[in-house]
Amino acid sequence: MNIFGIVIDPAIVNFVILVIQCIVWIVALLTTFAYIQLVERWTIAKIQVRIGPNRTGPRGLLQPLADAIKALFKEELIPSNADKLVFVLAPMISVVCALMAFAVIPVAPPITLFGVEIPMQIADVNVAILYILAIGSVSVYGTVLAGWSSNNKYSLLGSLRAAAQLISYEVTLGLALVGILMLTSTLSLNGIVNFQALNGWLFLPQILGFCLYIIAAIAETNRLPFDLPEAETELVAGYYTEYSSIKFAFFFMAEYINIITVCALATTLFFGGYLSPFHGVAALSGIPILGWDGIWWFALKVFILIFGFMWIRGTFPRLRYDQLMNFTWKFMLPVALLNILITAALIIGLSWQNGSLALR
Amino acid sequence: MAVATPLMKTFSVTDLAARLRANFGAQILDVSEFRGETTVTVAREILPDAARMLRDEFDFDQCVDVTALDWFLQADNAPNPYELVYNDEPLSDIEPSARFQVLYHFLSHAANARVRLSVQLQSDDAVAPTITELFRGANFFEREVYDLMGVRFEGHPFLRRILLPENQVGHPLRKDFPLGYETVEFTHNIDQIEANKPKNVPPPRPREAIFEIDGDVTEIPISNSPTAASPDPTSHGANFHNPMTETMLINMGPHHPSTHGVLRVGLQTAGEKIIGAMPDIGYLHTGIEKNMEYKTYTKAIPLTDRMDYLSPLANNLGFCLAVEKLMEIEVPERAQIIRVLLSEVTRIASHLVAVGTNAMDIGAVSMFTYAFREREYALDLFEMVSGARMMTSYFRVGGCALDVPMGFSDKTREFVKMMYGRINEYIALLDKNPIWKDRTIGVGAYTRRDALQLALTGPMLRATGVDWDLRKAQPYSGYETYDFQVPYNTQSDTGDIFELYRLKILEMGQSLRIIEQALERLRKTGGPVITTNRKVAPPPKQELQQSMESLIHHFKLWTEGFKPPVGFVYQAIESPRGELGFLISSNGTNKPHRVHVRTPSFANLQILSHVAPGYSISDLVGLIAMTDIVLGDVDR
Amino acid sequence: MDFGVFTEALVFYLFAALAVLAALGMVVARSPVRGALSLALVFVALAAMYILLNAPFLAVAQIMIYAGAVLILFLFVIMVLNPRTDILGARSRAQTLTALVFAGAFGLLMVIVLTSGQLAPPTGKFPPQVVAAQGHTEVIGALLFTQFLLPFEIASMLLLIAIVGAMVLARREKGARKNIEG
Repeated sequence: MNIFGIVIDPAIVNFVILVIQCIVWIVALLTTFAYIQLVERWTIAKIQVRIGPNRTGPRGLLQPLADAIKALFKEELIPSNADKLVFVLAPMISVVCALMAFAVIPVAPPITLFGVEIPMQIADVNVAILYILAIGSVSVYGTVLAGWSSNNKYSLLGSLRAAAQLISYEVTLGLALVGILMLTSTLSLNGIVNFQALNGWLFLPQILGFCLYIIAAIAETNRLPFDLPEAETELVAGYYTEYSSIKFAFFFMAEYINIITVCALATTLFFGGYLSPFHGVAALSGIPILGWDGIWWFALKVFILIFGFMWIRGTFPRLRYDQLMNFTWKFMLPVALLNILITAALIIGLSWQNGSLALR
Repeated sequence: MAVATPLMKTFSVTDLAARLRANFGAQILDVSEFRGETTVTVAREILPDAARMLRDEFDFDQCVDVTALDWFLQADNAPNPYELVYNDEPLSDIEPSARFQVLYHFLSHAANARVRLSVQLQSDDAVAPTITELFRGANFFEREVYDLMGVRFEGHPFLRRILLPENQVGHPLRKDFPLGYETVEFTHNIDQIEANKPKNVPPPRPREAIFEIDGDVTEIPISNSPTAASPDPTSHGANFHNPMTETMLINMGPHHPSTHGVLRVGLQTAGEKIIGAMPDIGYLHTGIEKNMEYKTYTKAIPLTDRMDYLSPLANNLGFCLAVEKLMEIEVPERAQIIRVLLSEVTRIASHLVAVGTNAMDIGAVSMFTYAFREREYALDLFEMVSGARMMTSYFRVGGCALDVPMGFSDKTREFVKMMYGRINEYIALLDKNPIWKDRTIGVGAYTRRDALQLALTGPMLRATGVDWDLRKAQPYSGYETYDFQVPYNTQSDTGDIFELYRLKILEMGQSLRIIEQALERLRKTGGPVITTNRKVAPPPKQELQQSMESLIHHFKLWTEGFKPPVGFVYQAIESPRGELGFLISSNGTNKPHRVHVRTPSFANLQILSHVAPGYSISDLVGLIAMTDIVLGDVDR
Repeated sequence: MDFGVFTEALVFYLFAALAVLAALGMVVARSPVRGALSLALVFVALAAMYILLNAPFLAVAQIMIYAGAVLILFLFVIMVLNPRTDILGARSRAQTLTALVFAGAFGLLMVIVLTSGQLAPPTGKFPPQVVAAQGHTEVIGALLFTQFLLPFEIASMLLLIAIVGAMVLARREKGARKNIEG
């Protein structure tokens, strides 16, 4: 490859691009986390007839900065009987897993810069969905270890709840996505977006799958009404009761980045990712922004989903542990299996209609 | 008893006295009547039998209160408690023959009657038989008497201190309890300060709490670390070791988001399932009853604000009514209307907190902020009449401190209009919410028998289907002239969290009806807002300039206060939480001899350890919210 | 040296070292939780190896399955062992000896394999070119549902039996506790 007359190994160029991309992604995610949190505080305040943060900077816009500074400079406490190594490790596991999961999500169509085509996702692996599920199951470690290492009974109860809840809901989360895989016959998120570019959004044929996915996603991210591991009125703060300072902030960071990730995944799987809603409408395809595919559509869709999360948080009471377990195992799991059956029937029916009854 | 209106049996005191005398003969020492209250003095040996007879033959199904009076030397020749020092020697040489008088208040819902049993005890033999086997609700009351007055109850299952820490020395409500106050020192000379400190005061120690769990007496450490040393390693493994057979002790509170103040609950759990729960109270004990003995009657009113701080006006009203009953004072009609009006606003404000915090404990934080938004309006009304939003001290003996200000009626009307809409919003938010229903219906179910036995009153009793409201049954302040209904559980005789929530919502609606009627009457009725009896209430300011007598009255009232006649009365009102009773004993001086407050929260809390086993920690916070306790009301 | 080959080698040695260190940590760690954590780290490092071998499906499956397994291990530690007495006692001499013998035997095996020149590149029905053309997930999926259907189903039956067995055991324990309670 020739840049400014210097011949460079394309592998090096790719490597440099990857590093820059990683940095940009992380900065972007952390900024989004900070402002999503601010927006959530505003939204919840609005729902709860309060005012919300409005003192730091114009209309409270610098609140995340103030929070970050406060979190950094607060005294860091480690309980005397805690397992110190694990206690420090736990929030790191949470944050690293949360950041890693976002790597496979395509946020925009590839762009060309200085003659180099740059994909708008860090890694286009063809097992992306499985990758996200795998990272999700590792991120439970952060929660469980945090509760265990704090040496506090409330934390321990919180982490036990988290372990049971996350394992259970992961099953449903995975099964809810099987319908998509059957329709698109690919595990690559790019492939799924391209499938939707040709055939329309998967939201309608997979409405059952979408509902299951969103419910399981709320449980995965420990949000009301499934926020049992950190139920503040019962377990004080659950698994992070003993955490302070930046380590406490890490759990928040992980929680909100996870929310962004699950909403981004839902956007990619069910709402065509970065595709314009008018994709394929010939009359509109030439209009800038509106007709173009791009990150703005992606961001808008993700934000609408996140707003739904906030709304739910402002509305519902919390479930009890046994109700939560009954709900996932006795209701959501059978429905997820039913969804797979329905999808299979749909595929067979369609291919029958086409006169090509052959299994792929 | 029928689910609906209790059967009104004919009941007469003479009949009761005759039957008791026939049964126990000379053991019935005295039957007396004072201000319409019957007191039967019995020998202590037959007390349980007499109580059983009251319960079984006269339908006195609830023991609403147990308390004690100390007739240590009165007035002039009493030793100054500030000069007493802590020691173990009894002062029996200057004691009266029957020093303690233990009073048991019984209530019959069927006959709508109250009777009081009284037992006299010597100071060197201050032991009474327990009645906890007949009325389980006497448990907390007897513990309180033991704690504060030092009367032992033989046969009590768990006779330990309840309000004061286990390591407290002495019993503070005794008249010879050394007050040992520390004088304010205007010096930095440490020797001088030390020299002026009260003598023989036991050094302060960390508060200990003893819990009874599984029949064992256990101390739960405040620390929640699984590795914190358990005092008795063989009793319960304070960890997760082998959860199949062993249990875990969890200390919940006094600093916990959902214990509504400084309630502490000792929990024994298997995983998250509660096996035993025992409340430890007293963290907010401020000795209000003792304090009142050193204040004139008017100056005692501000102390009542601090008990149930969510419904201060109900406390003011209860105290004033009790003193008025003792002194037989007539309250002007306008004052009565204002009292009723503000009592109902108080009820709404208090129920708003109850419903809101209950929802918040179960996770619906928004409901909490909605309820508090409306409560602010109610507090605005309090502020208008009294200048204070919570510590109102607005009612006076004989009426109210002032007339309501201009604009009060309009603002109240606005409040009523708004509340009708808002209550419907709450119903829309919660009543049809499947999660809310799952979390509340059937959770914490207790039966009518439990409620009567454990001395539950107010909404907690009505939730088990008993149609009992003191505003209807034993009306005061003219409640009988208002048109309202008493919501109670018509479906079943078990109460649960949802039923309590439902009743509170309905009661708010009825309170709004009463407020509307009171507003109408307030418009029509003029006149003074405090009694014209110049021995009790000060004369108006303009009279002072014209009448010498008024000046004297004014002077006497502000320097000395009034002096009620000798005797004691018990006056109960329907506070938002249940029966709020004031027992005021006067020895003829300007300060009460003893004030005892029968607070609804204190009694209602007893249901907690009864219902909690079998539920999870998540439900426990809902159960605490169900009892709707205010820790100021519990601990006093 | 070619940059691509260089980075691949670098990543390999990095993760190989990590795997070895984590494995050592797992053996040496005195606290069971730290041991389990090291075990998880070994699995992650191995998953990275699979990615280098161009088998991302295997890598992800490895993490998914073993992450859950190690989590259960954590729960066992929390449930069964006392929090502070979880530091295991000193190992006995016999234990050390046995460990040394087996480690020596394994080392010998490795040496024999490495020196006998048995490490030729893999040959078979699915060389890298075929896998790249078909997509490895598709290849694995097709194989599992055709050629290896019977073992696959037997494995799932085995898991089902284990689940049912666990439920039966848990149920009996519950009954036993009820008896203790009263």
